[in-house]
Amino acid sequence: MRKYIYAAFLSLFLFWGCTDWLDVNKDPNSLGELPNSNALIPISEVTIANNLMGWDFGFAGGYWSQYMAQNYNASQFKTLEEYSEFSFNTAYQELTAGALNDLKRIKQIASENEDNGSYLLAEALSIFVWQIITDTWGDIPYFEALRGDEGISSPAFDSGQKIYEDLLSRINGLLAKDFSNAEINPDADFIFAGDVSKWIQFSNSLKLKLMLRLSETPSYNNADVLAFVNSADLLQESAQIPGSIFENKDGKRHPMAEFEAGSAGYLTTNVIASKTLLQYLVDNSDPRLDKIYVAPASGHRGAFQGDFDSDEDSDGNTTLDEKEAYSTMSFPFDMNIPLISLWETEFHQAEVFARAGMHAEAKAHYENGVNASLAAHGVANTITVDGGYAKWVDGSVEEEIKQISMQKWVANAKYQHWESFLERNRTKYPSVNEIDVAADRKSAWVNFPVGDFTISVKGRAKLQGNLPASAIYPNAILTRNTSPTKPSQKDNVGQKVWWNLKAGK
Amino acid sequence: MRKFALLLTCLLLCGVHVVFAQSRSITGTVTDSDDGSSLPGVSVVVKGTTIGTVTDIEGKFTLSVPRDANTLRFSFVGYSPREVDITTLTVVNVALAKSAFDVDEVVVTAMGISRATKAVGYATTTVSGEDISATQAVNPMNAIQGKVAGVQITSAPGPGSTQNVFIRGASSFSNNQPLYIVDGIPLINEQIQTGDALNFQADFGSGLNAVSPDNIADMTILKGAAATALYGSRAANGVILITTKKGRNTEGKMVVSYDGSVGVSRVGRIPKRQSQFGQGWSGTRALDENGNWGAPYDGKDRVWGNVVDNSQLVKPYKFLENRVRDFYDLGLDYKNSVSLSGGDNHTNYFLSFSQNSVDGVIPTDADSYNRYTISTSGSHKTNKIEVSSSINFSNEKTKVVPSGQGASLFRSLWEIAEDISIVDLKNYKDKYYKLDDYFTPYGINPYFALNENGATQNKNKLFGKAEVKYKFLDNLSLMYRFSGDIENSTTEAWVAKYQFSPSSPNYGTNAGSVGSYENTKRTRYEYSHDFLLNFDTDLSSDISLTAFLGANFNERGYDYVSGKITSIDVEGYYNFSNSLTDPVASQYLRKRRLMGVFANVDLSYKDYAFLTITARNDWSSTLPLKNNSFFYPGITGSFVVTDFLKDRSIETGFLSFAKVRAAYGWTGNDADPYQIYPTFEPADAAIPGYPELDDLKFPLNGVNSYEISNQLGNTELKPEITKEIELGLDLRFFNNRLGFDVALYNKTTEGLITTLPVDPSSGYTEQITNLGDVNNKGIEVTAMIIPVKTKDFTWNISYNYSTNVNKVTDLAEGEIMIDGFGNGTIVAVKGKELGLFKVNIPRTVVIDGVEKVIVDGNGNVMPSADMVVTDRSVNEDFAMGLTNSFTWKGLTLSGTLDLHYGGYIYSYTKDYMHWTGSSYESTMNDRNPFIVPNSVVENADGTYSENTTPVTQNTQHSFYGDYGAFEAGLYGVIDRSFLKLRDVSLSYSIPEKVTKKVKVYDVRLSVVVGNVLLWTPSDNTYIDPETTTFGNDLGARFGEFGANPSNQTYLFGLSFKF
Repeated sequence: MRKYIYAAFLSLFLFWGCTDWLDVNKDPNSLGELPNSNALIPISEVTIANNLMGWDFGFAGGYWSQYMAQNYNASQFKTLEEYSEFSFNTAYQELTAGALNDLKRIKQIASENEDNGSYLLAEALSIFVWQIITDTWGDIPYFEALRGDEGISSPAFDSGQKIYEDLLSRINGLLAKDFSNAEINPDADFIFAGDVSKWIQFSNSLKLKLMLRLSETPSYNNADVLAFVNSADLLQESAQIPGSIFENKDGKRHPMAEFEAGSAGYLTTNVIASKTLLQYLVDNSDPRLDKIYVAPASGHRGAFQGDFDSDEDSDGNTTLDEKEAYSTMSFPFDMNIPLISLWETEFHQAEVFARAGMHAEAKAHYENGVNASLAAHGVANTITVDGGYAKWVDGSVEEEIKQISMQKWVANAKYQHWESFLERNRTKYPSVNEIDVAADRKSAWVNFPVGDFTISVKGRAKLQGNLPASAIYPNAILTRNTSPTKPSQKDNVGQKVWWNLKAGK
Repeated sequence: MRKFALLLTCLLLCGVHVVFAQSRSITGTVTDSDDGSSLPGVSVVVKGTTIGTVTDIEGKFTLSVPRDANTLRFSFVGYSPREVDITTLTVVNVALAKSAFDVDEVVVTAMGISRATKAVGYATTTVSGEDISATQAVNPMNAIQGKVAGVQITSAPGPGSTQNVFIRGASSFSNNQPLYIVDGIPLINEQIQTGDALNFQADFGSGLNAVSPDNIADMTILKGAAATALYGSRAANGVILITTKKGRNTEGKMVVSYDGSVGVSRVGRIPKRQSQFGQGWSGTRALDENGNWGAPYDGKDRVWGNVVDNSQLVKPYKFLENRVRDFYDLGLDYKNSVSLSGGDNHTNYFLSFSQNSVDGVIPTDADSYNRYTISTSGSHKTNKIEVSSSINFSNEKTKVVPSGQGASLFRSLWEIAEDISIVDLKNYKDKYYKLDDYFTPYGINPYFALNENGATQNKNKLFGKAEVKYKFLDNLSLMYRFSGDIENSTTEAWVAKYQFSPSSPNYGTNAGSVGSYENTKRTRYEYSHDFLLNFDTDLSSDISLTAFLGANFNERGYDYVSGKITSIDVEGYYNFSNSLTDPVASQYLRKRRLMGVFANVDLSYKDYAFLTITARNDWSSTLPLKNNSFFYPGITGSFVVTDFLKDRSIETGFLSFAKVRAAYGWTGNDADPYQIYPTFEPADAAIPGYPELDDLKFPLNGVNSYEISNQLGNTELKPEITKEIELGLDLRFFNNRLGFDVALYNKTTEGLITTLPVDPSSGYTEQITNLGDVNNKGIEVTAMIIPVKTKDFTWNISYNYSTNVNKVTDLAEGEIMIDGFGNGTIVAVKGKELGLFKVNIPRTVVIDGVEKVIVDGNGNVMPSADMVVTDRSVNEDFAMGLTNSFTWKGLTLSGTLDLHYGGYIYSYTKDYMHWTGSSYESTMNDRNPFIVPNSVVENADGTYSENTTPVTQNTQHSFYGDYGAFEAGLYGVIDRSFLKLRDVSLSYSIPEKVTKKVKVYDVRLSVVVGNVLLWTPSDNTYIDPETTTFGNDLGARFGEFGANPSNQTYLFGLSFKF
């Protein structure tokens, strides 16, 4: 009898010593460890680019920079034109928990391996992303951010000014490093194929961008910036994700092309040309017109900003506005996505010289910027030459800044929608015309204020005649972060960030 | 129940046929005292021994008894037992009287142990196989809707869809479904679906579908922690124990039984629509519009649709009331089930074959379900060893009409204005109706969606067990069981390609479809080794002890491989090779293991006081290796007051039976696999999840990449522990004509495991963690009344009531989103009910003590900037079920009413009807301009002034469709209360006298109608609030996203044995 019991228990506890039997909890669907940081670099670069021209920033920047208007009889982006509360949750999450967290790990691994090249790339891109974040959302967790793995799940909020101070000190610290023996894996680096010297140029152009963004703040000192510009090795080409890495396949395209491809059709259904940019290009015979917009058979036509509910016939041709054919935007699947474009850094330099009253230098860099933009579109320069509408005219600082800003606005169409929105917040060019389109559409059609922004018809009441200036906080922050420093939600997208101080809308 | 009792008796009597030298033979027949019909399966036992047998199919028995035996005890479930003095008899004919309640009935408890009901210290409910198969339901859980207190069952309406079952409220954020055990085999019950809750979703049902209701002998629902603790960490949400029919001792004869039914189904709830305004937009009739924002109906003949070949169709411009209902067909259902069974003293076998065919109410067989099951079981026993096995195989072929947005039928149906007949569009390849010429470019012909798009599943499932029991001694035995379940499914879903001819009217406005095709193979398996050592003894003449010690080893695995092409080359051919783009493949593997040891001790004193102590310890692979063990105990007691009084020779008068019971127990619940260690994932750059959009995926340009997972690992993860106390009272009066069972419970689940969303600023978006406690307390009342009982006529009333109060008693921080989408979610918030709706609410401001609505410059009510947690919850206040059954001779009429009161549900159907302008609310003020009452606009300086901007015909579409009218996001959240006439059945058992002549028994004819009446509050004129498209757990309570409508069924059934 007893031996049976023993036998029974023996068989019962046969597996007991064998804790290995329970050790099956390593996820076979993902990697546990990485040998080096190379595998993290491509996704970090692509995530940044993909958000700059993605669903959130690509469209919001497109509508709010008045390149795009919401199509009649469709509704996807009505709320952008209505200046509704936008938090750009996806972009925030992708930039923080996505790109920045991966960049932080690259820096960690690079530091351990004394790999200065990968460190340079990762730190420069981190600073670049943080600037976009604080420019977009304002005061945001920074010093305690990205430390979830240390147990900080509710990082404290920091003021935009403090963040800028630290970003400037970080870029200075980075540029002070010795990169003489640095290397970057050329395959992993889509932007510069591992060219360390170009990453140093990127860092310099980034520093210029950081400094100039503060142009309206009291601490801005143009002499310092001028000194930097005169001494620094700045970008000689656009820092961009080359379109050649994309393929015309689902999940492999430029994001704007992905929104259109297959049955998606978000562009054709919803996006028509805004009269604001289109008319400016048409009236000025800008050669980029047909590169930015696709004309229907009836010829180029742009729509009033945010007038998608109109049931009027503004041009008096007996076809209702909603039945007219409008110019559209199309994006090839293999378009480049600049992080810092060559025209951007040239226009920045032009502005610094303009502010210093150095007209010739300003003119030279202005023309470099325009040429860089025209080259990106593959068109000849007919506009800064004699008789061209963009021909440089020496003027007051403000006049020169306006000239530069107008061309920056045009150059950024299709390439840098969000940067265009941010820079307009700083310079306030193009300016805003107060015309109330809906009050008299026929008159507005004839007397359209070409070269100025109009206030979206459907957004006019929302911000009491103002334009959007920042994003509200993503719900993912407000509901999850328990830090006592957490601010309350913004009232609307009209709230300005700290450096947005210039008078005007 | 009868068959089950029979089986039990067989088991109890195994190997007891010890030949006595001094024995004599007793024979006899057992009949029903009411109608004199023979009673097969009655247990006949020599009192005080284990010597006994059961009656055969004609109610006869033969039993060798010891010379000195003097009393035979006859017992049978549903009848009052009788004892007969046999000192002087050799022929014993006995008539048993039906009892209203079976005081001596047994129930199956954890680990399949059967115990006398009176000894059980917690609430159990057993539903007989007869009651289940009487409803002719395809899925067993549908058969018990409204019949069990404290059990909530909802399901999606399509044939073969999934059941969502909650026992005693939700106590976990993501894992609330009970464990199903079929004959000791844990059943895989994962839902299989394609698409997602919002887009082109097809629900293919879960594992329980493989169990044919006709094979069920009975089903027991174990609700509380003390009842389920022995099943370990998978039983925290209750256990549904299904016992299937078995062969019994027929002395070698074979019994053949047949169950069949044929029926029709028709569409149930169709939303109420406005009948004033037809096709158009902004108040004007427009022939290409997909909305009902046009001019008022005038009844005049008018052209409609596109001009095709210089001609155009004409029809009256008027509201067509039945156009949606007319679109649906009558569904056709039929089933056949045959079983063969038999056995003798040592061996028994059971073999059944069943076939079900359901074609739903949507035209064509695009919604259909075909199931074949084969079940076998058998056992053989000798003096020392008993072996038994069961093997079940099922094949299911399911076709589903996908719900939600995307290329679904739902969208295309509702995008037809209410003045256009839907059935007229049937010839979707013909002039006027083909997509090129279809009247609107904004939607597609629903018959195209129905005939050209679709989703199918083919699933095979095999589950079974082999069991050996060895008796060392009469009171000591060891059982070993191997059980396993493996299911393989292939699902396919396709969206047809269609392109518009450049000359067609719809070209350019509608981008068409490039088509897609997806094929997914899933394999799930589960196996268990179970050991059970049983021991029982009498400690004294009054105290007896039963104990067992067991161990369980369980492994579960999942292997998912899926391929998809996102464009179709040649139309109508669905194969990975027929694509303009590369196929995209994905895979997922998963494995988890669990081992447990457990012990149980039952003590009984004088058959009226009972105590049970249980304990179990589990080790789970999904918890951190160093901390993967968890322990949970349970104790229950039961005291039968009436037996106690009888023991003291005190008469209890009209009180027939009284029992008080108490239970306290714990159960645990481990985590999902792979949540401990941090990982790197294949890189992708997310794009918001709109239809047809794909994340940017690596490799790009020949370069691959990995990113840090957004989910932070957790090496400190602990199991969820549920602690529950339950008190109960079971009272029966007037010779069991009136009875009440009341259960009160209070359970708290501590350390709920869930994905805690974290601020992405931290570098991560979520972490799996133990972050909250949830308390559920409630009352369950079951009442049985027999108001009338005569020789020929009985009226039986069965009533149940349950209420559950749910509260998130602790939550680490913030709020937890459970399910939902961009327009609304359900969340958990500390101190509130689990599952509160969070939506945008209207902005208001209090001016001079009056709350004013803030509108925008267009007169629309402005939604709040962020979504706000409201006090509208998904939880109902209470539920009641009432079953009346009338039996007159062989005729039984029975009906069940099911009331669920309180709670809210999200309805996309309502949401979408607001958008298309077919909702009846959208005709307020006859669509003349109106100013939102009591509304103000905000001025630039932050002050407010009275609003003077009316909502005009031009902007009413935005007012209702985009802004949610007066309620903002709340407008899609509606009352979920309902009263349903769950089923009414009329059945007739042909008297044995008649059928005996043709050697047929138990002939039963029945007519069953299901879900024919549905009442909902005036708030909900849209949907059957039981429909859902959000999975099969707590998320499913969120609501429906363009679900197909629910059905009514009318069935005729026939069953007999020979």
